[in-house]
Amino acid sequence: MIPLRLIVVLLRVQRIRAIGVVFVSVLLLSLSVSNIAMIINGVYDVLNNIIAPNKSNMISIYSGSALTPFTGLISREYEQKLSEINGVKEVWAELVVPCIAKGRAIVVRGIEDSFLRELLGLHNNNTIIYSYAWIGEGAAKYLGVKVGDEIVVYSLFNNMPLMLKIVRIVRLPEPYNDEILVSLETAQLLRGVHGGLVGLIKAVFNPTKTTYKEILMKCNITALKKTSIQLYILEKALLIISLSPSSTVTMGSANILERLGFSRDLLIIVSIVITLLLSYIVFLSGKHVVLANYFVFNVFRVLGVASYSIKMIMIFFYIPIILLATLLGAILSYYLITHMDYYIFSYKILPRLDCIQLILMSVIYVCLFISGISLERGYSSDE
Amino acid sequence: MVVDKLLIVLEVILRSRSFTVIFLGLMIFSATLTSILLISNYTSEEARYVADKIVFVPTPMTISIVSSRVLHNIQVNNKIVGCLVESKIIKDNITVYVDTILLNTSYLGKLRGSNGILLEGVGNYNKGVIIPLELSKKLNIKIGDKISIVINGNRTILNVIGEYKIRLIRNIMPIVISTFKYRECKYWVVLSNNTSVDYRRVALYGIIDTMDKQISMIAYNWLILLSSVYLVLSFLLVKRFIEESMASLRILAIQGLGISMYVAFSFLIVSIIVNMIGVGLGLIVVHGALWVSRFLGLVFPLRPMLSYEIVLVALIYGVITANIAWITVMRSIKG
Repeated sequence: MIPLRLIVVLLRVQRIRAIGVVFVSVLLLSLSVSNIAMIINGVYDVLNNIIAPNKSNMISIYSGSALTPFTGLISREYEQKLSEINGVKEVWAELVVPCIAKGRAIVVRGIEDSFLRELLGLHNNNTIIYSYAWIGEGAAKYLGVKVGDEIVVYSLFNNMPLMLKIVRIVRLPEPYNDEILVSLETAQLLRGVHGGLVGLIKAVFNPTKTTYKEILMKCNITALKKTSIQLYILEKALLIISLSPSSTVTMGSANILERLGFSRDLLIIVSIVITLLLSYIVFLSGKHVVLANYFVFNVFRVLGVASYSIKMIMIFFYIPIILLATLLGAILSYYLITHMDYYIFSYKILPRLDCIQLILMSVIYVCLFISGISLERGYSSDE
Repeated sequence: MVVDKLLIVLEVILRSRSFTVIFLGLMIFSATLTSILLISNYTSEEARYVADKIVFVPTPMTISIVSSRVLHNIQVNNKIVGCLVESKIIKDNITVYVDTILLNTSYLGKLRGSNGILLEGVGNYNKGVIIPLELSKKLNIKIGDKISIVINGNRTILNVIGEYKIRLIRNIMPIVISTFKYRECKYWVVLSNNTSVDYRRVALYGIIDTMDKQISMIAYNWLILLSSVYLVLSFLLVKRFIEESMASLRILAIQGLGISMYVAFSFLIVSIIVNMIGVGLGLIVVHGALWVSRFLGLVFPLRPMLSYEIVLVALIYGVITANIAWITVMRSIKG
């Protein structure tokens, strides 16, 4: 049993500098690791959001064989099937096309007239002119355009740039706010596909009348994913156009295209490896605590206190500091990313850190710190 | 004399128990940093390499763009026979404004020889398009060239079968399309002539450039963050060495050596060497990983190359470590 007085004395003689070193080490490490984790999460959130925004009572159908949200094409017959199901309130088709406008990459999304009118609040009498474009506030800021501007849009899929006139800048829900919206026909032209093919079919249903599973069954869809997409890398998402039936890219080059983004995977793997290796710093800071307090340790040992007991007190003293620094690092990282304006295409990356990731990070740091303290034996007596 | 003193301090560092920790700590850090920078550079190089290799199948029409909107339908006896379309053609960054009349083939026959439009040299126009002479000169389109017209997403490739002069309205471009099915004139009309420019490639490079900039911004910010971690890491390692070797250092200091300067210089040498070994290790790791990946069916066409910035970062880190060593020794000796 360690006397309370001993604990108090031991904690009072703790060197502020040692506490500072542990705090700063963990803070900086947590800042770096959270930054990496939040950005990677944010990127995948963006990709998910392009296909299927996480909304209740909404279903998104896209090609099961497609590796990317930009390449999959499905027949519009699903639109008909969905609309015939009792309980399905609204069905519409969309098509996303990666393009270049004003020298910057942006997504042009074609939306079927009915939903486009609803989204933009257009009256039924308003004709949707094919050369008109409606642009979200985020995308307008990203491209630096204003109402009345005319932009030439270059598509990756079709050797046929189009000039679009911006008729309105609107604040829209994500992901539309970071895109250029056009009529479905215009998007099909940019994508180089005929009118029977679209990228996505979305439907809003009434949960009291039908269910998600029932819709799947009636549409005879087996490989439908609810919201998540496979872990594919970013450029692969953008550049695999081999699956497009209308693609004019030769097969040889299409195979090369599939490979284009593979190295980004490596980048992500290396980032994870780095974060793991960097955790070594917490281990070192644990050792530093023992070395910095070595004189105090020796005094207590001479007084007959076991080194195990001293280390236990130290560990329990530092654990809250480590947890606080980890949490603070994550919060700082969140604000840092929010203010840094990171983009993927025109989509702003919004930081997200899972609770599991935060807990895992804290547990790893605490374990490493404990290992550092436990394994440090101090200097040999002759030194 | 100076070299002797330096060698003594170097020996103290190399013989210390903490040297292994210093060596591993700095080396692993620079190796991982090198890996991330190498892969980051490699991705950009490979993206461009791949983009250069892509062969787009040429399409009959490749250049000028006409984005059009229908102004109004043309009706004769309450029957839509065509429509007037406002179009913009962009060629060599010059915008040409034209109005286009799309006419139903069956109605065109009725117009032959009329006062409105004089058709000259028109043969069988059922499988082709007829464009005005003025526009054909502007776009350098000759009879027999192929152009394609896209209507509502469906591409139709047609031969130019004739040209005719416009008598009445300047810049009116009647296009006659035999396959045109008239219901409503609400179509995109796209017309262009042959050119070496492929806009898909423009889009491809544009996307790669944008992605590169966006990813590089993230990578460099990570580098800055990781550098701050490096500061703490090198401080911990140097501090560990100094606390452990304080007895030896004090003896050297008593002998009149300007110890902090020598320790700093020794650490500069040690950390630069260790960082360079780390860079080499990172290079080997990345090359090894790419080599191993071929057994998994993934062949990388290029080899990642060391760039000056990686070596520069290693040198800067060496200087940082030396400075930390200098400050730490100064403070410790005073203490």
